[in-house]
Amino acid sequence: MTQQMKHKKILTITIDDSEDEVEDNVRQQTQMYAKNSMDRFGDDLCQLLLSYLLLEDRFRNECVSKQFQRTVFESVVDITLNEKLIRKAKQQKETLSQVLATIATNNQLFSTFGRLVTRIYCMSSLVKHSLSYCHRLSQLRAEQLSDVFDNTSGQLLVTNLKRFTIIYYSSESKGQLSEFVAQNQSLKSLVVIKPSKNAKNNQNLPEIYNQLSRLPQLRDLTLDLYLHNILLNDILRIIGLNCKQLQRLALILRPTYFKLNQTLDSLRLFCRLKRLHLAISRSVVSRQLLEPLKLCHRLTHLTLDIDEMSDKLLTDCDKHLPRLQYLSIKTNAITREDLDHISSLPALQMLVIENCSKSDDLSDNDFNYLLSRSLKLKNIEVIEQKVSKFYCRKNGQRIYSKNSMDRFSNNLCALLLSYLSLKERFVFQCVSKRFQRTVFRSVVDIDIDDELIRRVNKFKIPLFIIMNIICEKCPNIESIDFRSVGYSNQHILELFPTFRHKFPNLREIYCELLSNSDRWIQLLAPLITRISGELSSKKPSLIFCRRLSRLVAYHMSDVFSGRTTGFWPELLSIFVAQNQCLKCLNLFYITYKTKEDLRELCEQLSRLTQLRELSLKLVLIDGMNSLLPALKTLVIENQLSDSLRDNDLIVLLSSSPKLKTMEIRVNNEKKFYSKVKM
Amino acid sequence: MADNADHIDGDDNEDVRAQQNLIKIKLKSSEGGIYECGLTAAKMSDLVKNMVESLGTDAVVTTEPIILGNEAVTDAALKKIIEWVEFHWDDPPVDHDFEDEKDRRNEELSHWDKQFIDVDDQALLFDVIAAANYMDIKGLVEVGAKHICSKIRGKSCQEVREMLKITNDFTAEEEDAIHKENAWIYAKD
Repeated sequence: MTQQMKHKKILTITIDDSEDEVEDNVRQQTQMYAKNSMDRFGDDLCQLLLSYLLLEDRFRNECVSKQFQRTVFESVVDITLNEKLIRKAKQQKETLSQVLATIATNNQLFSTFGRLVTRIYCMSSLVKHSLSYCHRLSQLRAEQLSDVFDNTSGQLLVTNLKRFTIIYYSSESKGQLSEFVAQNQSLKSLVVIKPSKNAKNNQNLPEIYNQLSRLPQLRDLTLDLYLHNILLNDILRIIGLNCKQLQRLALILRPTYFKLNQTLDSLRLFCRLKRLHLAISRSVVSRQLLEPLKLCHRLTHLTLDIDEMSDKLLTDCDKHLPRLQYLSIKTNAITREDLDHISSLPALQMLVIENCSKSDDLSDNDFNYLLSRSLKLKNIEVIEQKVSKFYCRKNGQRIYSKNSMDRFSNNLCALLLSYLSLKERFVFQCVSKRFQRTVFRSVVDIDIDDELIRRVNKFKIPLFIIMNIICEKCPNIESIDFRSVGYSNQHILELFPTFRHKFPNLREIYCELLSNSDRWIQLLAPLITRISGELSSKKPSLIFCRRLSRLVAYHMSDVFSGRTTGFWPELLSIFVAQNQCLKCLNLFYITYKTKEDLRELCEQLSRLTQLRELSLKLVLIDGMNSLLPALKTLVIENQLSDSLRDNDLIVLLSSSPKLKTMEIRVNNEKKFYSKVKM
Repeated sequence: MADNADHIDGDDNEDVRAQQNLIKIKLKSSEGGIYECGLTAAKMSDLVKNMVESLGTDAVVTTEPIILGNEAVTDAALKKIIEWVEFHWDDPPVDHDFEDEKDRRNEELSHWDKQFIDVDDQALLFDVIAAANYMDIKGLVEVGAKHICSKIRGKSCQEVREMLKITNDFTAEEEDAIHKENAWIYAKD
């Protein structure tokens, strides 16, 4: 102990030394800058750090230091000019403001700047002719389709767009659409926000989608649809058949009936679809509508915005959506059962749940539990009344909910399960992989009398097969209790030496001597620590047992071969010498003739230094027990009731240093003497 | 009387233990709550015992509380644990000569322990067990273990999973294979 302490002290000293050294070095190297000062960074790192500032903040921070001044603008590669910035600049009457103002108002400038313009977000229809100057335009957002056609000549002003958003679409512009599509075959992304204000009266809508399907490069499509007189499935079929590159699809469905009885069956045609956003407002969604979601095996992102979610929607989702990484659900109510299904999604990393109206009784625990069960889930965002709550996996490790047993380590789990019976262990091994790993670890002793083994035995399954199964499962077995092996099964003890190596930790065997004992006793004797049952007919076997800690014998002569009755001090001496580890000896009957014999017996027994429990049937002679210094319990069966006086017994009790209780049986009455606390 | 030095020592020990338990030390949960506990009772935790022994009793009594940093040692769990050690600190020690480990394991929990550990809030129950394990209070972990084992006795795997909120990480095929292998244990009488 002291050595350990010393060692520790030395260790801490060396650690202290090394820390000091390191600190000294650091002090020498970076003398000028404190650790907590940003001055310690070089220009490159400083520039990188500041590159995340907004333009406005860059100006604001320019005069923090010379290093800031040097670096803060270096990383500006693009500028976003918004009204706020322009307004601010205007107030200061800077020259910049004048330039910006000119850009904003004087569309003449487009003839010079036009070549550079690649994106237009907001466009007034008054200046649309400027579009013809923008040859490199790739992204455009327009109110109506007519905005991209010249008012007088009807000529299309934009070609080869990559991304196009149109806010209103009306069917009057059918011809224009056809031309637009023809001239913009490179279109990769298309957003149609509101198909038409009066779509209800429109009979030609499918034609629009026919046109859209002529865009083969389309990767990303957003459609906002009034589902009146439209067969959604037909539209999807046309698009799906033709736009093979489509990877992202957003459908905002506005059914005009309360009940939506359509199907999205054609989703199966979108073979490359990776992201799907589906919003259905103000309607009860029939189960059939969402059923085809199960056909989109390649989905990685799924957003569902539906009022009523059918119970079965998420059933088996792990099989149908094996690649899903992101799932967002906005619905009225989400249940624990839904979470159960979600937890089985094998690739899911992010889950967003927006509970619009009724907040269910889901608690923190439910979400932590979900995190702990899913394989890859890292983040959960739960939005309730526009307030977000986040649940994250800690340190990249799985976190476990407090009320789940999964939180316990293997060791604790093994400990907790160590109080189960053998049969229960077999039953519970398939609760989880951790159970399988740990449930058998704590099995250290096997009793052949176990309820399980007994029952199976009835079915004529050979005992050694069961033993084989058990030893495979339970590698830590230390002791086996063979006592209940009856004559019908005694061959197991003969067989046992052949598969003993399967129990590497076996140290103790508890058995009875059987009629075939002579065939196995030599092989097993080094393991046998306890023997019980009737000995006299098999006593030759006993000679091999040297590790006995507990022996119950009727008569001393049972322990030795050849002798029948009588008291044999020389044999007793051999017995004592060979059984030094005996802790408990129970002899029912001892024959002796003289006081000297008894003294001899006591002397021999007193050499059993480990003896803790002794039961003898004999006549008490004064002071006998003082010869057994380690004795703690004494049972005396006395036939001569008047020969025992309380006083003698108390003297006996006080003269034996470890003796705590004495049980005196006189004519079937029991009398106890025990040391009284002083 | 000089007849049994051993025994008198034992009595003395008990007195010392009782005396020491009048000394109160402070334990601090991972949530920051500070609770008082008798010294002998607190030393049922091997973790606390080692700390007290390396710091010296005086230091522990007069200075800062002992910090139990494991996240399972919440305020509620620590209160439960102190309740348990304050009840059990004067239990007789286990006598390995006579009490067979196996018999002790099969012994039923005392009524008090049963009531103590029968906590409705499973999160708290698991906190208490995990915290007792962290603090190395073997007796209390045993109480928890016996409680859990008695709760799952006779249940099916699915029921156990639901009750203890255990993730089933077996595939259906793996589970079937185990069931097949173990068909023999379900043999009917």
